[in-house]
Amino acid sequence: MMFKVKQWALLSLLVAPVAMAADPADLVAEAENAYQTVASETGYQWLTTTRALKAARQALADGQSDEAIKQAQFALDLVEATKLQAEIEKKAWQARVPK
Amino acid sequence: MTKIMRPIAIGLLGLSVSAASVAGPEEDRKAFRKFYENRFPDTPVADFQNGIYSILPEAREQWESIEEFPPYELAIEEGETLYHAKFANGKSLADCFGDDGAVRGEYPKWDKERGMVVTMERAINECREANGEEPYRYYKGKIAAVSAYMSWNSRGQVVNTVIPSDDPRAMEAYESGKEHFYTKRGQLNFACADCHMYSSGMWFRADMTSPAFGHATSWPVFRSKWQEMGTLQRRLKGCHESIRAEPFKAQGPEYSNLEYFISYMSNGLEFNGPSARK
Repeated sequence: MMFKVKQWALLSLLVAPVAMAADPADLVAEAENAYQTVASETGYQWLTTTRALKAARQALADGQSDEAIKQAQFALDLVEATKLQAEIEKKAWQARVPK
Repeated sequence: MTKIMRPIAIGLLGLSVSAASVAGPEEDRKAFRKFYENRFPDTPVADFQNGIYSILPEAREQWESIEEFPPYELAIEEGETLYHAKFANGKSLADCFGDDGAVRGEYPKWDKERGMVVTMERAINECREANGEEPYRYYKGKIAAVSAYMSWNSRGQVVNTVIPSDDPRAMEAYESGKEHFYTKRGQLNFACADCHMYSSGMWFRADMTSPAFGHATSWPVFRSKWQEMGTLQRRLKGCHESIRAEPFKAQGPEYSNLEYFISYMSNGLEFNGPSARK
């Protein structure tokens, strides 16, 4: 059983980049969706992410698939970091209020 | 003993946490002011209205020279013209704010009817719209000119931001502004408090960060970097961009609540806008 789980995990790791590379438009859409979701749920958004998404859209329009994938993946990573920041700051800000 | 002490300790911890989170605006303001008094013991309290120049004597002399021939003078003149210009319906901004527009001390204020913070710049545009005119664009240009004229005529008024106790939404707006001030944002992971409180008076390359106490008093300003006038919310937008955070909409709840909070923190200081900044 454990062996099968490991096999699937390994297989998904190997297949994932291929699947992502297969459709850059899907990845850009996924990144845009993630960006909007985090912005509406937390009120947080990074300028860097906005710029990465813009670059991804431009690369897509120019037919530069590799660049579109690179920028969209970068945007997705930034969105994850933004979510983490928002989660930490939910409580952490209170420690900065002088007493 | 441990069994007895544990619940007490937990209870005390709970009390201290809840006391911290429910500290009222006045307790916040006193602690805020005390922080800067301790950090800059050589600065008289009233002088914090001068921003960075209250803690940086080397730059103050130069700033005072600039203030003798202030770069915002033209904006005041333009603002005066715009202020008294007749709308299509024959009225003007003077019909909303009086002959000289000396109402800076009333803003930002809580609008109970709409449940929101109204800044002076928003009030200017709402007056225009109520009279059938297009609103000015926020941040700079005509809005900053009119604001400069009204602020000039309001000089010496004391900051007295009010949070009405009979409307819990006002307290929510204040708390939202407070949370914003102390919350880290952007890829650089900075809070307003990081630069303008805990690092205030420290050098960041060639610039020293100003104390947040007094941040609300001197707007709009002619900023050398901009080479033109700008409003407080323009500066907030610039700060967010500097830390690589996506800025919020001008006059939206985020910036207006933040303005509400920092204005409350400056209660007791004098309005001395418009001013000049680096």
